[in-house]
Amino acid sequence: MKRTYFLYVEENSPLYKLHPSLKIFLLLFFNIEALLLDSPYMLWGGIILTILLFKVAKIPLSRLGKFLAFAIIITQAIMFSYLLGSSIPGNIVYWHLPWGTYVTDVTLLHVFTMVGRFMLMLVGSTLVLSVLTDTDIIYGLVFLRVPYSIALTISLAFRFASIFLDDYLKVRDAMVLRGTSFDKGNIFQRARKYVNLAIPLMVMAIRRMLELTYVLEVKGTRLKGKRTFYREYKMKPYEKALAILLLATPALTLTMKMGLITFILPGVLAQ
Amino acid sequence: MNGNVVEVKGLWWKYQGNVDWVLKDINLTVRKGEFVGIIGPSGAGKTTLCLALTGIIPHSIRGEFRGEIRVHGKNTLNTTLTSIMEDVGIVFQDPDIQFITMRVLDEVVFPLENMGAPRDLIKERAEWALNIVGLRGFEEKHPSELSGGQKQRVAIASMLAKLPKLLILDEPTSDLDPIGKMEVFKVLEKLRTDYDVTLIVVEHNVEELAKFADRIILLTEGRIVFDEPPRRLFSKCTELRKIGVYPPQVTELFYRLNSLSGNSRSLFLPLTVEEAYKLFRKQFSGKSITMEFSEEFSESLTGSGRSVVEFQNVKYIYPDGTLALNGINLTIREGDFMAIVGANGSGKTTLAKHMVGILKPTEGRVLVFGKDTRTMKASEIALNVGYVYQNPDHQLFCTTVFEECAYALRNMGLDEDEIEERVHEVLDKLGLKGLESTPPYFLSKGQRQRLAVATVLVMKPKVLVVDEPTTGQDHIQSESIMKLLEKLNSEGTTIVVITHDMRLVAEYAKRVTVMYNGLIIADGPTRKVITSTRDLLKSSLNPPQITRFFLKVNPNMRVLTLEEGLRILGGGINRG
Repeated sequence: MKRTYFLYVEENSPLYKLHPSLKIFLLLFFNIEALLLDSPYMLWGGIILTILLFKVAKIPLSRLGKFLAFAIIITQAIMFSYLLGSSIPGNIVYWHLPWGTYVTDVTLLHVFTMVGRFMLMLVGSTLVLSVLTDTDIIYGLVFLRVPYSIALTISLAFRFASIFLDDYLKVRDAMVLRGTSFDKGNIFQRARKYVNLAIPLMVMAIRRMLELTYVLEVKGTRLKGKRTFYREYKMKPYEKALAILLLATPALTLTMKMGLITFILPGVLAQ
Repeated sequence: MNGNVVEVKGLWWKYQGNVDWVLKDINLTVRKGEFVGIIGPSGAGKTTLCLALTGIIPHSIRGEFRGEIRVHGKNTLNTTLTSIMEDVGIVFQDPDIQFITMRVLDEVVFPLENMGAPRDLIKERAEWALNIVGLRGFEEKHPSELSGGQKQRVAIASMLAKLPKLLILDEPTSDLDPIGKMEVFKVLEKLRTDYDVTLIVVEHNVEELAKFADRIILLTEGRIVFDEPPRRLFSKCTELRKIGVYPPQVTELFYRLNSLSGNSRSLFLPLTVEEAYKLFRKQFSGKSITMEFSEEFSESLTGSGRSVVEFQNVKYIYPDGTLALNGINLTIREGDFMAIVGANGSGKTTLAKHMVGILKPTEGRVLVFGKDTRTMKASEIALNVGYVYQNPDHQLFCTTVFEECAYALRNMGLDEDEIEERVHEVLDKLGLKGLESTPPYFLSKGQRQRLAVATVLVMKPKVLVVDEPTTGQDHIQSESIMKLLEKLNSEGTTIVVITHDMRLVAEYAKRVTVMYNGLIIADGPTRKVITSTRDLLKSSLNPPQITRFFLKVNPNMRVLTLEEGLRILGGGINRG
C-alpha cells in the first residue's frame, strides 16, 4: 500500500502508476469538463463513469462516503437557491411562489446540472487525490514546464493544508472540552466561536511557516538556477495517447458548446 | 584556516523590536571532529546560537548583530547562506516540520538536488546516508509511517547526504522516547568516530550528552557560564542545580556521597551506570546495604477510592485503519496519580482522548463516573475530566489570561462574581497572578503551559489528564509542573499524566501503566513497574539512571529516586 494525499492506495493500482503529469491532467480534466458541460445527462453519465474508475483504480468507494455530509449541504444550498430564488422561463410552470419567483421544468434541469457539476468535481477530485502524492505534483508540474518554485509552492500548500486541518481539529476539540457548542446560537454567536478558533490557528500557522522557511533555507532550496531531479519519469505511448485525449476532450467540448446546440442545456431549446 | 571549524568572537544579538540582548558576548571555538554539547535553561539563547552559527541569523532574521562568527573560516556576515550551508547541516527539534517532501528518499536527496549534483552521486550519497542512520529499506515510506526516532534520523540523513563538515542539532531528541533518543545518539557517535564530523548538539538530556560529548557549554541568560569537559562540568553539582541544570543522577549521587564523607570535588565522579558500578564496588565492598532497603521502601500508594474512569475491553481503530487500542481493560481510581508511559505511537494519547470523550471506542466501552461515554457529549464529560494538551497553543484562544480562564466558566453559565473568584484563585495557585490582562501569546512557554492547566483546572474537574506536560521544558519548568500536579493530587484531584520522562515518573507518580502497540503490558505501583526493566524495554523505555544503577548493584534494590539512593548508600558510609 502507498500513502497518497487521501491515505492509502494499492501499489499496483493502474491510476497510481500513471505518469505524474497525467494525474495532474486528470485532476484538471474533471474540474474543467464539469464547468464546460451544460448537459445534465452528460454530467451524470460522467459521474457514473468516474465511480466505475474507482473500481478500476482499486480505490474503495468508502472514500466518497467521507464527503457525503458536505455533498448533501451543497446540494441543498443549490436546490434552495434555484427553487426559491430564481425565475427561469420554461415549458411547464410547476409552482408560483408568494414572493414572485416560480419553478419551471428548466429550473429543475438547472438544479440537476449544477448538482451534477459539483458532484463531478467532487468525485473526480477525490479519485485523483486518492492516487496523487506530493512527488507527483512537483514532477508532474515541472514536466509540464511549470517553474520549480511554483511546483514546490503548490506541493507545500497541499502539505500545509493537512497540517492546518490537524491543528483545526485539535483546537476545536479543546474548545468543545471547555463547553463550546459549535451548533448552538445564532449566526453571529457561531461566527464568534469560529473567530476564537482562528486565533491559535493563525499563530501556529505563522510559527510553522517561519520554521519551514528556515528548513527550506538550510536545505539549500533555490528557486532559480540549476537543479537536479533525482527521480526519472518517462511517458509510455499509451500515456501519451491518454494525455492527448484528456487535453482534446475539453477543447472539443468547448468547440461543440460554441458551435453545436446539442451540447447546450436542453431547456434552452425550448426558450 | 586553522583547525577551528567554528570561531565566535564577542557575539551579541537581539531580535528586532526586543530591548534585551538574547546572546551576550559569546566567545567560542569548536575544533574539527569535536562533539560539543550545549545545555541551559529555557530561554538561555541555545536555539538562537544555533541559528547564528548557520548564518540564518542575521541573513534571514532581523535584529542587531555585533561581533564575528567564522564557520570553516568564512565570516557569516559576508558569506551567503547557501555558501555557508554547503559545509553545514542543521537538524531542528520538531521532526515533522523538517519534512519538505513526503517520502524518505525524496527528503534525503532534496539538498543534493538543490545543489544540482549529478544523479549518480545523489544515489550513492543517499544510500550511504540512509545506511549510516539505519534506514535502508525505508526509502518509499511516508513520514506518518515512521516513529519519532526514525523521522529524526531521516532529518539527520538528509543533512548527512551533502557530507557536512559540521552538523548542528537543536534538541533533536526532545519529542522522542528513551530508545529513540539512544538511536539518535548512537548515530551521532558513529558520525564522529567514523566520519570525523564536527557535532554541536543542544540537549536537555544530560545523561546521553555526558556519555558522548567532549565538551559541554552551559548557557544562561545569553552568556556562556561554563565550557568544560562533562566530568569536570558535572562535578559542579551545586552550582548547576542553582541554574536549573540537573547532572546525571549517578554523578550527583557520588558527589553528594563524597560531600557526606567529607571528600568533595577532588574525587573521580562517574557519568554512566557502568562507571558508577565500578566506583561502588571500590568504595562499598564489604558493606551491608541491602537490608535497609527492603525495610525502608515500600510500594507507593495507589488510588483506593471508587472507579472514576473504567475501560472495558476497548478497541479503537482510526479511520485510516490503524488499530490504536487493542482490547484495553483499565480502572482509574479516585486519588490515583497515574503515569501512562510507552513508545511514540503506542496509543497513550488515544487512550487519554477516550477518557474525555473526544474519541469513542470502536468496540467495548469507557465509563466515566459510571456513565458510558458513548451516551455523553465531550463538553459534559469535561465537567468531571479535564484534558490538558501537549502543545498549550492548541488550547489558548482568548485575548487575555483572565478571559482564557473565564471562557469555560461562562459556558457553564456561572455568574460573574463566581467567575472572578474562581479565576483569581486558580491564577494564584499556578503563579500567574498579575498577568490577568496579558495576552496569552505574550507569555513564555512555561507560563503558557501553566495557563493551559489553569484553563482546565478552573472548571474544578475531579480528574485531570495531562498530555506530555514536560516535553521541551527545562528541569525547573518540568519540576514545577509535576509539583503542581502532586499538590493537586494531594488536594483530591485524580491525576493522569502522559510522559516519556522516566525520571519524573519515578519521582512523582504513584502508579504506572505501560503501553505497547495499543496494549497495556504492565500496570501497577510505580516501584514495581519501573524496576521491571523487561516490560519497559519492550516499550522502548528505560528506567531512570539511578534505578538502573541500583538494579545492577543488586536486582532486589528497587530504588526510584536520588534521595532514596542517598539514604541507602549514605547509611553505608555512616556505618563504614
